[in-house]
Amino acid sequence: MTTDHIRQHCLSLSQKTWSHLNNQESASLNFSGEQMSYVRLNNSKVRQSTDVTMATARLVVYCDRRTHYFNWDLSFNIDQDLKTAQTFIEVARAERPQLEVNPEATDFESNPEHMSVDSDFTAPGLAPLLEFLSSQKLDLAGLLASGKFWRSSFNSKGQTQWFESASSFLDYSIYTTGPTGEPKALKNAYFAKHWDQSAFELQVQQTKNQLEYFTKPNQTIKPGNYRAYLSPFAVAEILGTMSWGAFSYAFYKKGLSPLGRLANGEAKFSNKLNMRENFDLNLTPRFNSRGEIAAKHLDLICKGELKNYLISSNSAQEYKVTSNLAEPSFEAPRSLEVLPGELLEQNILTELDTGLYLGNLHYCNWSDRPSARITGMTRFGCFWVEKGKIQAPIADFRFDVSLYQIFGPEGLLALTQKQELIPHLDTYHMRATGGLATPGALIKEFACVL
Amino acid sequence: MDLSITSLPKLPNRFDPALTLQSLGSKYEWVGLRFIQESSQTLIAEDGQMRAPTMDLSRGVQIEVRAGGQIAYASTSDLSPASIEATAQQAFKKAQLQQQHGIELSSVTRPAHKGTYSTHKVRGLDTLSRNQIMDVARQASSQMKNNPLISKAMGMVRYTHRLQHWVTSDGADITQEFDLWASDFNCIATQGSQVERRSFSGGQALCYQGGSEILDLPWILEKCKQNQSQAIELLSAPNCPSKVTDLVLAPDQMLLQIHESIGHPLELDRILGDERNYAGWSFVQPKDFGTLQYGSKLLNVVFDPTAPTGFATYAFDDEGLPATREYLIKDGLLLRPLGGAESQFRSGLPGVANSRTSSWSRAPIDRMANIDVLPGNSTFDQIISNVEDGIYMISNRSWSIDDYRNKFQFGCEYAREIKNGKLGQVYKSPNYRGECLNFWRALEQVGDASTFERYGSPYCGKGEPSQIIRVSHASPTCHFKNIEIFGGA
Repeated sequence: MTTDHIRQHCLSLSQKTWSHLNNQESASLNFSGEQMSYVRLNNSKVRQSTDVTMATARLVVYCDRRTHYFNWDLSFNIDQDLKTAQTFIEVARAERPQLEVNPEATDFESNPEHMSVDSDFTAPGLAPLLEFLSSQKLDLAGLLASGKFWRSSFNSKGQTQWFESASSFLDYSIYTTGPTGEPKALKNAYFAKHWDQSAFELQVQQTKNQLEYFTKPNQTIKPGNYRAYLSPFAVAEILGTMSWGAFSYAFYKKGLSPLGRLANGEAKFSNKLNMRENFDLNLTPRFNSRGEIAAKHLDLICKGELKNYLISSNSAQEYKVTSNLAEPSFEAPRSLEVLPGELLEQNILTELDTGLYLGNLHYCNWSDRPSARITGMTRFGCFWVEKGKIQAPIADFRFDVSLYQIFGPEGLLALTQKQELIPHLDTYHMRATGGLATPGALIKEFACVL
Repeated sequence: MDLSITSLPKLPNRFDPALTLQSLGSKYEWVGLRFIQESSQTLIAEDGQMRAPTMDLSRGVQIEVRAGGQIAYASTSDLSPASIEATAQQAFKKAQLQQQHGIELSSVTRPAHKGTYSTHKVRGLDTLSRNQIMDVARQASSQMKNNPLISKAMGMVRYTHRLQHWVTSDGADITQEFDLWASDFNCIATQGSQVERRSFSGGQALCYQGGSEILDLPWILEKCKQNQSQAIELLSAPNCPSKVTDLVLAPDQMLLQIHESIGHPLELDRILGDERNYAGWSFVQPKDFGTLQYGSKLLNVVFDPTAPTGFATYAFDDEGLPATREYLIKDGLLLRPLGGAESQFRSGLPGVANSRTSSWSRAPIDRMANIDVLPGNSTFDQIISNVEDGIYMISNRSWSIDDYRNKFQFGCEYAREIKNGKLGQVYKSPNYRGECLNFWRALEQVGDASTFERYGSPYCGKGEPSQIIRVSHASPTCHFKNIEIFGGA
């Protein structure tokens, strides 16, 4: 089945579905799906491979400030899928009288049409890829994902939006053994619309060469505060945790926002810090699940001050404010950019002088939301630096640090001039869209606690 | 109109995996066909009023094809004969491609058993309506909201019916049906800028299999009343102090402690390195089984897929192994990893029937199921009375652990000081941290059966491509010596 066929099926299903609505009802139908080939690798060999063709429909039926949500996997049989949609509409109609008014329910509008189909791509050849890894004698673990994916939003008011793209990535880590037998690793990812085997091989070889850093024994970091450089990938982990409620207006109104003290003027970030939604990153469509098209740019933090929370139409309805067309289901950034600073890449180690170079962080979570404190672990590619020179890899440690320490006026010393574009490589349910762009950050105090 | 939960949503025509397999069986060395259909209904009320009801219907098939010793998977929700044929071909071609560079497997990794399973239900579901479930959500949230200091209260109930039918060309035929419940009841107390949240046993920890007996409204309302009063107590409570002290954990926090620091490190696919690029490796080595003193002599841990109400109770795993109760840790000694047939073949270690898939679109991998700490001999009062200076923590709210599953940090919603054998002062924002083996070796007292409670989670994430699966953990109240605790700021 081609994606053209799937697109036509979705278009046809949505048109036929609207004819089953009565005059008081409106509805939206969103489709998301993928035709993806996944190959899981361990020790540079195939552990499991799974090809997936899946398409999920989300029908939202609205009437009289009541809403029902229905999600199902398309059968690609138009009669069967239409019957499912029809059944769901009947369920909503039958049950509606028993529901109270939903304070966040809002009717649909017809937003401007969007049609973006860019599914031309070059997939990697699995055989040459595996042969190359085998020839390098690498202990590599990772995931190769390659294929087409789509997101769309139609509604009974006439809205038609379709985003379709295709690309491949190999998200991987390469392992070696330190001098005392401890496993050490570096992480990287090759992401391409048109797979370039030579470029991929070069990146893998460069990563492999950096394993030389692990020839020295681990340095153990004692609990305390350390000057630290967070690479863009480490900053991305912090930003990922911030996606769990930090920018959500609904969280703020419930008193659960980790940025509540910033919003209320009780705490400050450095004026070096600027964050915004920037859909020019081209990692995800601008339309949300209601089909609303967000502005290309929306300032979230300007010179350290909270400029905007992300406000969905549902929150706007419930709290009587103006929506900035955030995604209703989570009010988190979809295309976050941290604006760059002035620290040149070649000066990172000299400006760090003595402290921690942190390549990646792991398993971050809020440890205390009111004080915006995050705990997590160091992971791949973390080193102890003295007088601007890498001395040794470190034994992984646990940190527990407030965003007001990391990004505060005294804590944030510099942001790098170079940003890294980091696409979301999550594959829960299906491949994620979106991502972020961020520089690295030089921090005055990073707290090791265990 | 009152709709029965078992009649909704109206499903499309039933798919017959056995009949479909007949058309594929002769074309391949070995082929397996896994049909999974899952329908869920999620009903949420806030402050006594229903929000948007949600229904989910997932339905598809996964085809496994073996060629030259390699197995590959392909999945689709298009169940037409032409699509099934094409999907099987996809898997076959992938398996062929893997032959030069695939991890070696064996035919014993798919034993050909036949059998069935269905959830044990004390009371049936036929007469349970969506209206009744909505009323539980409404009443629970109303109960908690009924105080001016409560700014928001929420009740959520999700019922899921899962059917999976697995057939293979060499005769395996396993049908399993599950009735699954996940609930969450929580409230937010607000006074000025002070905001505290208290939930019923942590977020969505009320996860069980069963019939309509799971929705015990009087019990839920009683617990919601307690939620409300504890949320209000937290508004005036001081932060948890920072010190090294004795720590007593309630079963709803033991849930996370077991999950992260026993369940995950014992997963054999992690030990074999499959998970290294994503969730991580394990500090446990293959040589540790039978030799490593994981915890104190009081620590006894089982893999128990037979527990009647367990969220992850089943009769066969997704590689077709019959599921049996096994000791993982006995008297503190590590005995057995959590690994299915493929991992057992690769490692040469014994394992358990725990290879599971989250859906028709994901290959089975080693997962936790019901992992339980067994009861000891102390009553709750005896445990508390034996603590001179310590803290009692309840209900998880924050969790983090390293990629080798060693250094952890957990936060709880609510705590009580323990002084001279008695419960005292309430503390907010209690946290503790430690290292895995030191922690379990510090296990000092284990509660008896009267303290034993089962919880679960619908959201254990793992794998590449990633999967979310249901797990369950039961535990008594447990007491640990000399643990670092601290509070919020």
